Amino acid sequence: MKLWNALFRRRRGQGNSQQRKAAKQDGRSGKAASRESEDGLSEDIDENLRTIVTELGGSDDLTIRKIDVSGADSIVVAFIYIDNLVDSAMVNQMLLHPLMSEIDDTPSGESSEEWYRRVRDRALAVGRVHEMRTAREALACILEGHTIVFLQGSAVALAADTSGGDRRAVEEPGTQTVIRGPKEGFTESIKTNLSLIRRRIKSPRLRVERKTLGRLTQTQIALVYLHGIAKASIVEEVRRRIDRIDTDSILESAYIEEFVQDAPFTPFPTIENTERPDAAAAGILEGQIAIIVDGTPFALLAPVTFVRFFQSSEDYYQRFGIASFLRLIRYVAFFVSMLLPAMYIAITTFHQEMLPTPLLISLAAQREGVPFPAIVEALLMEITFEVLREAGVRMPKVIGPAISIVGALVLGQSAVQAGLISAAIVIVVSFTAIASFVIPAINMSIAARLIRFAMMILGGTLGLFGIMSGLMVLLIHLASLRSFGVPYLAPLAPFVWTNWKDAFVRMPHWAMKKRPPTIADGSNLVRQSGGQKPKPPGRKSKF
Amino acid sequence: MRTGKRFVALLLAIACFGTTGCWDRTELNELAITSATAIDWDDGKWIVSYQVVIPSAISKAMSVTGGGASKLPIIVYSTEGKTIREAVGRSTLESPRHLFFSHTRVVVVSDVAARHGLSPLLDVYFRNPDSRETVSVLIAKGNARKILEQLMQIQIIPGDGIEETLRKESEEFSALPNVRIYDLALSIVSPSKSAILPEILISGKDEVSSADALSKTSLSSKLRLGRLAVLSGDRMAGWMSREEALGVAFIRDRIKTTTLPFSCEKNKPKIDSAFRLSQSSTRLTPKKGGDGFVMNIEVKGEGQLVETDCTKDLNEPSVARQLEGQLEWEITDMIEKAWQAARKMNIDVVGFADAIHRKYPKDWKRMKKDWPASLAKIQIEPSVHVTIKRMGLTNQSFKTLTEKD
Amino acid sequence: MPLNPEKIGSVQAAVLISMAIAPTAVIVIPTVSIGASGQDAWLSVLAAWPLGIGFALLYGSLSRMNPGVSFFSWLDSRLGRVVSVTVGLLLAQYYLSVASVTIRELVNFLSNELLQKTPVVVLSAVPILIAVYAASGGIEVIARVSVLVCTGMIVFLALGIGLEFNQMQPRFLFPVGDAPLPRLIKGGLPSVGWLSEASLLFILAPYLSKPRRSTAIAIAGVSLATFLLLTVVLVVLLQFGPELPGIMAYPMFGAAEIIKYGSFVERVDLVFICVWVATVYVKLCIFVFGTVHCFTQSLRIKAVKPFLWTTSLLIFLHSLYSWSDEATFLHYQKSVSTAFLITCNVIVPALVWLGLKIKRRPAASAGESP
Repeated sequence: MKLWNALFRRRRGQGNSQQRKAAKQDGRSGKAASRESEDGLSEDIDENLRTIVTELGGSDDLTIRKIDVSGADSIVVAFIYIDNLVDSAMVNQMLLHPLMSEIDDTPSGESSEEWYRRVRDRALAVGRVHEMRTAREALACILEGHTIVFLQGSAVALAADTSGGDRRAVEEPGTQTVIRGPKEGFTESIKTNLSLIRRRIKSPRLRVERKTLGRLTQTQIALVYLHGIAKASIVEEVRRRIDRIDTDSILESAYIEEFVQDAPFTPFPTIENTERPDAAAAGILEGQIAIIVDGTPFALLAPVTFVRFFQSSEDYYQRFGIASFLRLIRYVAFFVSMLLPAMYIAITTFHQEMLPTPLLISLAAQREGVPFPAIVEALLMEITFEVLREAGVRMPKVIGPAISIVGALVLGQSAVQAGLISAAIVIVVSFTAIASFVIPAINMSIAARLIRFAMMILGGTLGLFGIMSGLMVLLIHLASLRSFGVPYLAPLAPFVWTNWKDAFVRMPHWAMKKRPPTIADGSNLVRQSGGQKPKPPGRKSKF
Repeated sequence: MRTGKRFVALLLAIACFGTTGCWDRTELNELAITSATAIDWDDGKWIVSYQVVIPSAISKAMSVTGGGASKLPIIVYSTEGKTIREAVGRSTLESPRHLFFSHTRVVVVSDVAARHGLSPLLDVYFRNPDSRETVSVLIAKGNARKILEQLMQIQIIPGDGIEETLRKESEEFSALPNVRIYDLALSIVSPSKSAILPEILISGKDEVSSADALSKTSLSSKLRLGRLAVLSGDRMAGWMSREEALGVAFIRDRIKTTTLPFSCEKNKPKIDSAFRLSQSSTRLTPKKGGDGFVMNIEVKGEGQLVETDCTKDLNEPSVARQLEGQLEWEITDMIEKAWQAARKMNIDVVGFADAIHRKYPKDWKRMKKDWPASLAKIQIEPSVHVTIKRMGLTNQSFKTLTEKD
Repeated sequence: MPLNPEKIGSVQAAVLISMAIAPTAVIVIPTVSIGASGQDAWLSVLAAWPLGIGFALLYGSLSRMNPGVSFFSWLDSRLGRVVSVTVGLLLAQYYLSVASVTIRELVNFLSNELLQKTPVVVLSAVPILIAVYAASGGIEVIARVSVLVCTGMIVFLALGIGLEFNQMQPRFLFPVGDAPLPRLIKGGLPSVGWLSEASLLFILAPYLSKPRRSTAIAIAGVSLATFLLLTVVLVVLLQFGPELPGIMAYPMFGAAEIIKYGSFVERVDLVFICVWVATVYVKLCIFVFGTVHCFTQSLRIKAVKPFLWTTSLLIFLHSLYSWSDEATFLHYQKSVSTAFLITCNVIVPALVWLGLKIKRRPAASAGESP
């Protein structure tokens, strides 16, 4: 935080976002007109309209609809909104149309206050309507997609919530797909996302707290949690940390993640993210707090422990036997993706006695005539693979698959045949890469990828002792990590027996009676009654 | 900024790792994988021979140098020195690669070297981390290096082949034990102060050490396991024949499975049946009596009849008892012969010292100093009990059919 | 913070105590014990157990008197500044010494078995750096890591026993009672010395979440360590008999070396070595933490980090240069080490305990003179 401020010479923000919105300085550009926006609106409608247009720099997408019914009582009404931020149909049918009817019904000789009240209470057929008195509030509302109604002779404007416009429909999530389970994914609209969660948790105890972050982006975020189930101290901590954020832009939930996490320099994620509403709902039901950010389909979940990154939503929808088995495979895959190249290097250069003799002879035969030592070979292949993987991600969909096949097979095969590398290293590197895709959470597999390189260097210089030391450092690091105060290695390190039912295996649903006590509120842990193991009816004894 | 300084320090530390190089690293293509070693003793010098594997001749994987199917899988060379490890050290004068002993399967010791004493060898194996104590030890009469030069069929690497042969033999025939370095060490320091080692020899003429000699269906000479070498302390003292070795194995409870020939009729010299002993256990119980001790050797075994040319009615229980009696007689005879041979050599190959030490510790303390003399005074009381559990798929001998009309 | 970051649970504390004893004990004691007592070495270890429990009772009662502040501030308030500083420095020196012995032991082992050509400086630097990192995280981090490593150690010990099972020969244990009593005592003395290291409890006292259970924790820790030690001694005896281990430097790994099943499972001792190295790391972390804790707490130093680095440097240099060669080191292990351990772990706390009993709650802090 200090670094950030020092670099950008900004004062640390104080108070909450509402105050900040009210006391907003519009950047350091210091427009002269900003002085005026401090003041209230005037009664003259034209002056108000001019203020708004000047503040927005005369943007073309600003739409003004002025209705001037001249006559004895000069009724001038102006609607002002930004095109495509509003739902045009709503503006036309719910605002313009009723207002036109109201104008017809208005008796003559009404004062401005009566007219104002008439418009406010009878003409605007929308759910949310605010009153505003300063140009600044009006601007903020316009930028949110509200329609501002100015009335001649009134220094108070009305803002009707008509936000809409083109948004992505609810589709299958791009990442974290499942075979069995709901296929809805979060979208970029915070309203849709909140509704997706509300549909799953229909409890009055579900709390939604809205905040706005980012000076220029004014991004809406929402904290969602279950009151009484999420630990109050953790909720308070989350709130506190988010309120402390003072920045220009929040474009994605990752920005918030980096501001708010416990340990900025660790490769391991301490906040979970998900694109699936059912995963978010499951987390909230266990006591986590979800942070939904407008503009991105990835919601954050905090606090989180190490084992949660190896759980996938699908584990809970398939049978518990296969779910447990796959979970164990994921842990194995994690260690493989982190350690396999390092182990290969260590064993083939330091501890050849560990290999069975036929394998040793095979490997030795392959190495005849290969120019590079094992560690250089491994590093080379790993970096090549990372390059291939990045290329695959950026490739347009039409030629994507072809390149990956070309890259992996042809490159690897040719290199072996040309005698540049030995065949075994190709196998090792490919298997490592495949293993890293098994981990459900991409941020955890990224951690393994980075650590892999450190392990390779350690293994290449000190053999298995070096790898052991590296693992020890890793273990100490993980043991000292916390996620919002919850120890990262929770079911393992502070040994919590109840959590073990969901950590490495998945016990059947009827067996998991309590919520994890490290995350959820300790006084409210029971989530289902006991004795629900299914049995066939009747039949006391078979004999 | 504090984080900056820490980061730089970390970078420097990591750089140190890289600049100093990796000290203990050896690439796979810098190793000479030794599958067998041979130790000879020639007039004050140790001659150590190595059978080194050539990986590219064996492996089916693609190799750059081109696979030569006619290439031999091993090469053998020797070095000499006043001590064993000095000889090994001298190998760097002629080998382009670092000798790698961790995959050695067998060490063949010539009987001359064994008569000189095996404790330097044991010390080398225990003290050095790269020599493993699971290596099997064999004795060769005469020149041990010749054993290494001999090629084998079926098993490409002769060193592995010798070890596999020995292992199978100790499991299937049990006459010669598979003695590893640590077994040898345990034997030598045990109260019996003796050890036994199998012999390996080349039977036939003309050694097979070239590719041409190998490309025949029947080799002119083969590696074969022979007799049993007996050591007193760490020096070799004599030989025992294979039958005596089997008897020793019975007494020492080292039989896993073995095939025993016997005759189904008492006092008939013609051996016409074979019995496969699948389980055997021996218990040694010393008792005080006679001049010194009397050792009760109780052998219990069971197995299966695998061959018989006997015309007796095998279905009768009494006939089964008769056959068992014959077997018991055979085994007792073997035990007696073994014991006589041990007595003649005056070495406790049969492990009586241990049994006495456990049962009569105080007497043992007295007898410890003059054990060979006390050994000679021991009498044995063998009692063997064999059960023929199964007769196989036929219930009468085939001969009964041919002898009928 | 939802969880109090400083407290450690009872199980963690017991594991910490046994991890402070076991790693170096299992490597040193089999050779010494079997060399002295022959096949009754396991009896001598078993005989050391009640003594260990006696120590545990002493430590437990001492730490239960502690109302929850660090050992030294409490001593300060009860027996005066001079006593607390003296005891503090003495204990700091003790922890420092044991830490450097541990590193030296580890480095000797690695140089002999695994990495012969790597310079000793590098081999010593790596564990020290890791211990510094762990100690800077506090005792709680070390406690968590030690529970995981201890579980791993027990699992691999069980696995090792399973693999070595058919090479074990029970006849090596008989006849029981062969060794004369003096040799039995000689074989048991090192075990007693190592078990007294449970005095770690004093350092742990203020961090315990349930201080009432201090005695139980100490007894559990000592018993676990004895059990591990006994298992290793038995395994070595059953594999190698009573004569051989006396000349072997690391019989525990020798036993692992001879595991052989077919041609696939062989030469697996490296896996067991790795697990053991992890436990030694844990012990090192505990003792580096102990050194820094004693030093800073008794002298009431607030800024801990610089002292962490300097004491670690001291430990590093001490382990490299105090014993010029392996022979001197082995001699130290055999002769001086036991006396040193018992003095620092038993005699000093016993004196403190006596002093406290005599002082008996100075009502108006009148008799504060040491």
